[in-house]
Amino acid sequence: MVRAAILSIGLLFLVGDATAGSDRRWIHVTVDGEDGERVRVNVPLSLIETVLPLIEDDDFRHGKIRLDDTDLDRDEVLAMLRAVDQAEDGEYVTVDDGDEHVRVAKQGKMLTVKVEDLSEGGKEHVDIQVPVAVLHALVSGDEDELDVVAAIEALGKHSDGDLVTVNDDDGTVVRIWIDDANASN
Amino acid sequence: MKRTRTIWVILFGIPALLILPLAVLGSRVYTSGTIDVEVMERNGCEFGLHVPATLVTAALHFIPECTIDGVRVEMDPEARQALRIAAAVAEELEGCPDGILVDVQDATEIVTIEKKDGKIHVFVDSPDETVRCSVPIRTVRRAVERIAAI
Repeated sequence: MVRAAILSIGLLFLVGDATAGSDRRWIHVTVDGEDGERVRVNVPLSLIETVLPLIEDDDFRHGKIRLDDTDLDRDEVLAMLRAVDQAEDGEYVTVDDGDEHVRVAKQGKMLTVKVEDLSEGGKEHVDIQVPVAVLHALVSGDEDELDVVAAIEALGKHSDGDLVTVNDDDGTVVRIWIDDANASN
Repeated sequence: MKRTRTIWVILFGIPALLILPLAVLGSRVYTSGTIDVEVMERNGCEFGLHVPATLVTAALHFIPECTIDGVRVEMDPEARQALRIAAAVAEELEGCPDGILVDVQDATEIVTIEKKDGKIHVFVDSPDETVRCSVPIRTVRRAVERIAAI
């Protein structure tokens, strides 16, 4: 009986250790240039969450961006986000002006923005995927503030996946994604 | 009997009293690690520095307060903020698993920053020189905290 109890407690600690490791989320940035340039950055989200509140500037304090001098209306942004959250999946904005194709859509819990360069010889292609929950967290602060720390925390709770992919005209590929691994592939 | 005990004390007790503090100090130096800097220039010049991290943190305690006419001078707020951020980064990195944090390569230069075995390892390879530098993260944190407290 005692032995079984000790074994159970030991197993609990092991499981606890295993899950503790998986709580750390990482954001990865890779840039691969056509001429062999290569950049790899791997940062734990917890580091960003810890550091951002320590940065103090005129427009950035305690992890929040002040919007006093911008044209961005927080109420309009909130209303737009609420509408996006409640709406069904689908394309919201499609722009085709001959040189560029822009598509803004909602797929599941993600807001996706795709920009494609259609000009002759144009190769630029941008894919952005942002969880709607992250956008909500961004505007969850006081009026005229964007809560970046809350957005980062919301990002950490999101499942693994690409956030930004950019294929530039000169062959440069930029990719930003989040997962549990401490290294980029 | 009493003489035998006295001889035992002299033969083993006194050396033990001398060796024990040295052993503790050596153990502390070993566990704290070393700060290593190696520079190899293409013209053949080489420079190497290996300093026990304990020495650096101990030396920081001898930094005097900055005063003018007996009045303590406060550190610039931006500098203090930078130190707070550096301390937070160091503390967070201490708990991170090992891995490459930054890896930049282009046609002529390689820069790598890696966390491994409790140290930050910086490697720079350029046309002019190769630099390797490794610092225990705990030392960085203690140094920054000590400087911020001055």
